Amino acid sequence: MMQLAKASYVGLTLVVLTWIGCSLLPGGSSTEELEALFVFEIEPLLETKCVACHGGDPEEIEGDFNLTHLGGLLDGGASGDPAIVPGSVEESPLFAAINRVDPDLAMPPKVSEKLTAEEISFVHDWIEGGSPWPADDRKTQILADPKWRGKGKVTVPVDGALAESWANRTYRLEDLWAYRPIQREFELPEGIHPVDYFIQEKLDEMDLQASEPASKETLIRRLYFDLLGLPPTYAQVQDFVQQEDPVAVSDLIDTLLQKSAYGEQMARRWLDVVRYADSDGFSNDYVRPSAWRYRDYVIRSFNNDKPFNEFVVEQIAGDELDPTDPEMLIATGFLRMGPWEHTGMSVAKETRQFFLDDVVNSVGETFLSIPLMCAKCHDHKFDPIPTKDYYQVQAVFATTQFADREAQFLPDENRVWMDEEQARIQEWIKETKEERARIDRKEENAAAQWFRERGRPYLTKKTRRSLPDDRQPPRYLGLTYADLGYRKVLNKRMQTLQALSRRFQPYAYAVYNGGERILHSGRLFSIPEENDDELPKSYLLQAGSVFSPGEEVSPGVLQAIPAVLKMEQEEPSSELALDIAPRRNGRRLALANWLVNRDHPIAARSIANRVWQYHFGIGLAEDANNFGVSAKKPSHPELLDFLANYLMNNGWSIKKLHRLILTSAAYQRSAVPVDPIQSKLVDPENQFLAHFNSRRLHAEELRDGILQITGELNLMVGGIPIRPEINEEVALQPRHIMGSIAPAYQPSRLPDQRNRRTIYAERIRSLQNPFLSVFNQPGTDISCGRRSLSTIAPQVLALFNGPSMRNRAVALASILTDEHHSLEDKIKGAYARVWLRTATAQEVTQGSEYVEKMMAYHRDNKTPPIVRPTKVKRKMFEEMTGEPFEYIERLDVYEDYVADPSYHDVSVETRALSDLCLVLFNSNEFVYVY
Amino acid sequence: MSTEQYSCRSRRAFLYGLGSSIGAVALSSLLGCKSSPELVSEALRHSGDPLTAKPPMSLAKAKACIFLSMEGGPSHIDTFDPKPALEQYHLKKFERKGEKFSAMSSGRRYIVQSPFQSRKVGESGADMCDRFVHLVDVADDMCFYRGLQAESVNHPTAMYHINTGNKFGGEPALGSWVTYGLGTINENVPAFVVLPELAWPQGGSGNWSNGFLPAHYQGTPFRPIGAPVLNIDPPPGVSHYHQRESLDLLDQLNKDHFERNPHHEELEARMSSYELAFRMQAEVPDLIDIEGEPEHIRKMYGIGQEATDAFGRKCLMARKLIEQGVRFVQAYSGGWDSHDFLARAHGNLIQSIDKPITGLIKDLKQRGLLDETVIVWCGEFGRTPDNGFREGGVAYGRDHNPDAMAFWMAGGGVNAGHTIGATDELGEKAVEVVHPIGDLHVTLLKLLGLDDHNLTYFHSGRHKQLSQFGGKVITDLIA
Repeated sequence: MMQLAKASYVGLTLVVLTWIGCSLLPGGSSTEELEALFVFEIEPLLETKCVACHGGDPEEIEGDFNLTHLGGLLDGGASGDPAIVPGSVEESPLFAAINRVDPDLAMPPKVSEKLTAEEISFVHDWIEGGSPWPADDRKTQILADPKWRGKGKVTVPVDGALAESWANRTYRLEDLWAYRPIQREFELPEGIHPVDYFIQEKLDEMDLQASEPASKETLIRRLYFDLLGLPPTYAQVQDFVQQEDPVAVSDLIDTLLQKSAYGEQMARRWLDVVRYADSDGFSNDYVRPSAWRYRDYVIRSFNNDKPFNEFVVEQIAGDELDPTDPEMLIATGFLRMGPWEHTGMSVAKETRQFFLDDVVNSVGETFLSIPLMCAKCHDHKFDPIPTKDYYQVQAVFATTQFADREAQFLPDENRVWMDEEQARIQEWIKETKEERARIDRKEENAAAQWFRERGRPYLTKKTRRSLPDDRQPPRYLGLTYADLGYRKVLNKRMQTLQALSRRFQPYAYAVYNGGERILHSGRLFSIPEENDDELPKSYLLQAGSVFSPGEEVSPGVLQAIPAVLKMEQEEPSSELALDIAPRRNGRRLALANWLVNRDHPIAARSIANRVWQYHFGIGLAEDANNFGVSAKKPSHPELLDFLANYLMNNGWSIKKLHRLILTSAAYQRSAVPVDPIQSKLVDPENQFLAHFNSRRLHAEELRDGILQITGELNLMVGGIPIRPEINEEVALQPRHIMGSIAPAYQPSRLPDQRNRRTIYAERIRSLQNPFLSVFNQPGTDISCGRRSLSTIAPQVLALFNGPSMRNRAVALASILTDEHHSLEDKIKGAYARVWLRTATAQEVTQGSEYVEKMMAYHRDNKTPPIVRPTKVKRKMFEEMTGEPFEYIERLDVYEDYVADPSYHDVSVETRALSDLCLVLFNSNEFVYVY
Repeated sequence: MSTEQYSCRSRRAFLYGLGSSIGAVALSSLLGCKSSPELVSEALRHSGDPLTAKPPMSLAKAKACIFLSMEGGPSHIDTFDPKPALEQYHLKKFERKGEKFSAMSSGRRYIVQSPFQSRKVGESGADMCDRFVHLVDVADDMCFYRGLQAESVNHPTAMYHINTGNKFGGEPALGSWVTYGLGTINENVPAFVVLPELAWPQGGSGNWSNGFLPAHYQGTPFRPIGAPVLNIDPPPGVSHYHQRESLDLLDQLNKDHFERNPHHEELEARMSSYELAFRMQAEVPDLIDIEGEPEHIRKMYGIGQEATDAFGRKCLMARKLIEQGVRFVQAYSGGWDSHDFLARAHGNLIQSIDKPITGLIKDLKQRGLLDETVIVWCGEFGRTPDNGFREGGVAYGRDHNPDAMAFWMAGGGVNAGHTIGATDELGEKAVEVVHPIGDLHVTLLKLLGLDDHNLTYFHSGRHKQLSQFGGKVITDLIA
């Protein structure tokens, strides 16, 4: 309710009077200026912030107060008082409302939509200036007047808006920065690294002093973790520190970019954005047996420095580019990365629409850094994207259908351990079938007896089912509730196993073009032999509902891209205004080529910004997944454009872009600010990079880094997913899937299999690795453009109490025991391996005293061996009856499990030494990168 | 950046040639930033230590919430919304088809009457099926609501919807929003605790995810057996002494490191997280010690009796957690998806929760905590008055129904002793005081002194809120 009470208005008057006493009233503005103010600022403000409730449909106007014409403002609402008094803000209750004097009467009601200081000052000036409300023809005149062009706001001419007011909406050009052409020409002084030129310019402007270069010890660790996600060894650090050659750093960068671990680190970042997982999510969380091939494709692409434009096109339209190349089919796995499920309980139209919405949004966030979902139900609230565009882009995917396509394994694909894993699955299938047959026999024996008792011939389940109830045995005769429940468990397990057995077959998790069809999750999706169904039509869906189709739309792209370019370029590229033929094939390829067109303003900026963020922790544009009008603008827009150009001019080579950024002084600076207080005051987020941003290790870097230090990491590249050890309680925790419990999580049998880089760990949507998730590994349902790095107590429990951390510490202690004789050398070795530096005398003493104490402790305290269960008892409720029942699940892996050495397996001294190693792994010096 | 922030006045003056108006900017900053309590509380919520208590946005009795989740979708018809009309149509043919239905709920169908009798209970005369024998005692403390509608016909999406406001998951859970809004009273225990069934619900931890909110607001599942919090106990062979010595060494090393890096404030926070974890380790076991409760209290909840033991423990644990300052406890009861064997399945389930919930309400009341707590009971959707054939035979059960569902609240600020809203004659659809799930969320926030519109978090270019795009308070549910 818009009731503007007098009470608040009195309060306001007092404040205003105090202010009037010491300042001048505004004056001297011309009528024309005030009218322009209205057209460019006031009216759009009313449109976006007020008329949703106070305008539009007369039936629904809140508080009887209409803000769509001046009369409404002058009349006021239900309260009867005018909302504004032209010429006097003091007497205008509306002004008190937007200033939120009384929270109960504040407008707009949502604090998050409150007017900015600038917007309030516009309203102030407009009211004080007499509140002119130009007529429509006058408005048109002002909008067209070149006098205001480029200064004020612009309209973006796009067709098909749902509301006329939206179509006439104006934008500040600077807010449309991502849509504007990329700057191509730069005047750069000689003798300074281009990156440093742009960075220094802002530092000077902000009066911030750049820090000294980082020490070589710091720099090499920073580069290793940044580019590889792994630490260097102590020897590598020493070697680097001793090199005096000035090109040593750039040589090191080149060396690191050549390592296969580089591709794994970049893939880890990319998979966050595309939401990689090895399962479907939702109620069954079915396995995606071939998804791993997409993961390896991403790793290969970064390692081979595949031009980024090709990387984009392949993921969106690899199958259209070359369906005979397995690599191209594998790449399209991107389109199916989101969670998705269709079962007998879901509505087919909805699940199909869910995919279409998901893929459009994902393409938007991933390549355009614009989440398109915002335009699904209404024209975009902030960006010049009408709902029509959303559905035009969606129409590009209207013929895209899921398929597991045959794609021969490539020589580069790692197929190690496939045979062993396959044999294991086959054995499991056999066992499951036998158990199911036992229950079926029980049922059929009872049925046979039923027929016998009635002197009738036995009929199989299939044949008797169509008979009336009294002519066939009662359902489930002879079976207990436990049998019924367990049979469902077995059926479900068979589905999982059958899907798993496809992991070893040369299928690509891919798509094809065709007509609509209904697919049930968990099965193999083949391309129909006669793929000639009618092509689905695409509609603008009203309020986003698949059950309310509106006008038909044809495939297309975002109109705003060419529209904004046209405003600023004399001869804009005609290719960016693209209509895509509504044919079966080629829609996605057209979209992909449009995205990576050299004149397209966003794709190159988007990836350049991501790469920058990977190195500095924060992007030039802070939200890597959102460059839209409402997002924060880039801190160094020119630099971002410079990088985007550099990328395109260097064959879209990501590695060259890394090299450019990493060789800058900005990257190689110390993390210690010159003047910490000034830095906190002027640039608390350190966006201007006067010093380097230190950071906590990411979840995978922690795990992989520790495994590397303990000598346990197997650096093999690629292959079917592995399963690391996770907290055993979580591993055996029953997970509810439709009608059953998912099979237990069992780690891979051999240390060499499971102690691989985390990127190869199976990602199960309904079972996040608790160690990784507590250290901010994102979930797999929404795209993560930038990880958060929080510090919470459960991290301590994982890193300090977790059993597998203790095994890591034992592994390191065992190496040290083998390598050194004296306890002191072992202790020094522990520091050197974890901290990559020589410990001080004091640190050695502290370590020694501690280890002595721990040795005394361990002499008196025995540690029990770790016993792993080979069976687990499952208790669940039968789905239909709610009756509890139990069954035993075999944990086959643990039957011949090759365990990592634990506390129990080593000497008292090694145990005590491992305690020290664990403390070091927990130390801040290890956990942070500077 | 800098130019945008600091020069809006001059830019405008330049653009429109307007006269001096510096006063307006000064005024708005004076009014906008200093005198508005809503902004002060918004700022509080955003800044500083997330582990501190924050003032509510409006006066409210309730400070905490116990959310009883009946996973699977309990039948409103067979619990609190009886439909005697079904008797005359029992097993009569029922038409249902169309693209809005799943394969499962279309085809040949028939009406199913309730296997239970219903009766009026309490002074308020609330409807309750006769399988509830204890809950009758506290009927007048409850507010029944029949107007709620879900959107989704399928479990996982419906679960995500009721738990996070978004059908497709990935967003913060209700409990995360509440703890984000109200903060923590006791920092040694998690502020949002989930008591799942032994088997986690469909969708798993996505049902208590912090989504885009900071990790502090994630729900912590307390496992019904074993260590309640992962790794809360040191591994075998590690004693308290051992742990203390290790922490002391770590602290020394970290302090030296901090001395060398004094500008890096995060180091301090990480150092203190070790002490916090150590305190949690000491406090949590007492907190969940059900065995230490007096016998008569355990009996109130039905602990020790086979049918009620499991849910009784959860209810008692919920009370203990609330007492210790936990803001939001979600307790699951699974298996309500009765497509078949309705009498047996629902009968058993009703028995399993009847005494525990009654005990919980009575116990909170005798401790003076009921007024400070909101209790919510609901599933992810309701059930249909009809059913389809299963394996060729007539199945006495019900399908999923997003258009009508069973729901009640009790406790602080709730309009107890009333039944609000109504479904149609067959219980197929809510027809009076109809509201979507989002409105339930807004109402619940309101009862806890939070305003959905102002409980926002900026993410991906938008101030996001629990109700997604705003909702209405269901005022009839509030006293």
